[in-house]
Amino acid sequence: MDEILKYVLPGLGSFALVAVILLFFPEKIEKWSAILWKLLSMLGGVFRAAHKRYVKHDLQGRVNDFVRRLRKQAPEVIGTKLRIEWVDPLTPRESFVQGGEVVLRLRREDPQDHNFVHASYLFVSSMLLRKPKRYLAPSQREAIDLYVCTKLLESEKPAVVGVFLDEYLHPKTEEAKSKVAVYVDDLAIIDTGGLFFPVLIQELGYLGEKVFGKRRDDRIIVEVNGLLEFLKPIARRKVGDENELNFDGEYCRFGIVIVGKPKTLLTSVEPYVGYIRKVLVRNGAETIYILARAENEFRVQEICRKFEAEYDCSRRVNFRRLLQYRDRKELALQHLVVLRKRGVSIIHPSEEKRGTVSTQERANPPFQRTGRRSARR
Amino acid sequence: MTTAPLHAVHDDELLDFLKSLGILADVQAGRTHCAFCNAPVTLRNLNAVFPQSGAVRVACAQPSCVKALMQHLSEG
Repeated sequence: MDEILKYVLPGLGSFALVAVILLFFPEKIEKWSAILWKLLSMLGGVFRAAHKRYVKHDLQGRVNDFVRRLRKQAPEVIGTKLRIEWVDPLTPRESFVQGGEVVLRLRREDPQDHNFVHASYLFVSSMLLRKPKRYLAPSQREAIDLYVCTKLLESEKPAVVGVFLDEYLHPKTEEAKSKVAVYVDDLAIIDTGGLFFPVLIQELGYLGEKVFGKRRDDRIIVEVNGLLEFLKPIARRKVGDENELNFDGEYCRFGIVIVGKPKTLLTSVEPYVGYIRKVLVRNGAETIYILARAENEFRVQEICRKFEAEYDCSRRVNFRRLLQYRDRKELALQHLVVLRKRGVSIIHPSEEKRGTVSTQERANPPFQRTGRRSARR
Repeated sequence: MTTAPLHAVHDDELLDFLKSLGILADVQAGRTHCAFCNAPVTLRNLNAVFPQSGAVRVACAQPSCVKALMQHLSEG
């Protein structure tokens, strides 16, 4: 019996480990298989065809791993995984023309990893925020695609970030007044505050659900500009600063609650509960982002329980964020909870609002009354 | 989660693919032109193949043309 335990159990343990990874992290398996295929392809000869498998699994494994991590922060952002589909090299011309598909060339000799850069950019461009991007200004769309693709490359293939920046980002951002350059700067600021994926990209996802299928409207472009102007000062804030934390737009209505004043938390969460109920709930906030240090997670849960009837806990995310104090910066583990109002209408009653909001108010939405810019395309 | 196919052709099958589409000779001779910048496209700089208005079009590997290809896709 001891010998069985000694020899069988370790084997079962490894098998169980592999099974868990395969079930829950298939992208990791694909990344590992890509390494094996690459090594095989280097042998040449009968293994020459292994390069094709390496390219496919390397792309799929890395991009889909990024998508998996991204969806933890903003589930609506990308609803699909990447799958490389090799075309039939004997596809007849008529069939190709009728099929309407773009076919990307993936190279055998690729010292600068352009295969990965092009395929990643193509995937991000076509799959990221599909619904809202139709309604954004071209410069807004391009900036978001460039920035997210940079993040993908930074996390999955840092060696090719330089190639991407030199060829795609810098030419657009060299001119300081370039609209894309300004937007990319804004996105970077929001990202340093840890608000890019969990808040901005998430809100764009919600926006897309509301406007998809409707005609294009410049007010959506203005709203997105407003979102950026709203989030920048929050991303830059120092601990203790007072900021405007409620966004009351035509399409996006949300509030950010920063939980953490030690004096408040020591006694009770009621001040936060009271604020949420009297301000955010009363104003019809559709989403409430509650942000706290990870060690205050249980306090945040106390707050969320008070609103279970009206708000669904959409997700909980832990991530590292740079906190700025007056005299120092600190990388701290943060806990974010996203509360989404139950039964939020997908068809936003903007038609009703148009009937009651004056022309002046429409031209100067509430979030602009604190002096934020709006008009940039 | 669903999967989104990205159609691709590997270099090992590129010649057969272009021959099947009837454009191999033109590409090898540099007679095809990029749909976005109009530069001659050969096997060296060919980046993508796509149908447009009943014809087979090609795109080169210039970053501006890669971006134009993305734009074309997003509008399609």
